[in-house]
Amino acid sequence: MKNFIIKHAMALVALAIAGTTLMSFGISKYHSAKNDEPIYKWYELVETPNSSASSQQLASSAPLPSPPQETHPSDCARKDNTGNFCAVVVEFEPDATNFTLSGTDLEDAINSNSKAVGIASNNSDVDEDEDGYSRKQPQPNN
Amino acid sequence: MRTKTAYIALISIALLLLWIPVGLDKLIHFEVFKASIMRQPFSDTLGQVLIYTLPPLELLTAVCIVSSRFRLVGFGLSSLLMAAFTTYIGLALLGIWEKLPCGCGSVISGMSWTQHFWFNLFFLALSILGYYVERKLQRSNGSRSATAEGVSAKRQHKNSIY
Repeated sequence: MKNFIIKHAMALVALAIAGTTLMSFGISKYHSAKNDEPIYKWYELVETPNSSASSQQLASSAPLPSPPQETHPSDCARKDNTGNFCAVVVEFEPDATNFTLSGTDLEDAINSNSKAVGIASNNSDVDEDEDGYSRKQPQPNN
Repeated sequence: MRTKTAYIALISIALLLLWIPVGLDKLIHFEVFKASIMRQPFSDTLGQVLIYTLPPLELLTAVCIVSSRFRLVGFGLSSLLMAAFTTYIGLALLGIWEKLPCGCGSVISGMSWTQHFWFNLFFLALSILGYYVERKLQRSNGSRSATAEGVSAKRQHKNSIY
């Protein structure tokens, strides 16, 4: 028995790794029975009138704890909004776990996260006007 | 000799910990893997080839590493696969492609491209190191057994004479 274990140690290690892997896949499947929906996260932008993602900067690399207000022209609103771009919604792949976005600009930050699909501009549930942005009127200078 | 064998065992286990989960993940979540490969910035033909060759190649690498007879081939395959992946990620980091979705599995899927690059570079170095140590070990074993065979042949010759 001892000789058998010594002789086939590497095969036993491989079997143990394969077993653990298959077991972990089973457990994760059990825990996330329905995990095929994309994930949407809102991020605060440094206010800008520029509509190009390569000219927009993230105010924070972490997502907002909750989406911007539905309607409120003076706030960063998701509906019937005009003015500066103040928040953006990004779509992630269903199995994404890392939602930190960092880069020289918004476009670069999205490209740098391997699970970020892009600006979510096709889902009215997360953004009613489906442009992927929240906007707000700039405050007049005093 | 003993230290080299221990090194080989450690390198083998580290590479098995990489290739077995990654290969199994691709096979079990085949549809996800297929979709992610088809999103990569290369032709559909190459994509189709990779879809059906990558998972078996990764598992074959693991099988070769397990078998002491084919371990050198296993380390070679591991080095080649890792070199290809590392080059691909390196080019992605250089901005050759506009957007590069990750087609990788298990633990690797949560990494950024930079982390992924260093991770691959580490395993590439490990595979190359494994290849050279295993080759040295096989050569020294070969010369030792040849010497032993030489001695026994001499002895047999002696016995046949006397």
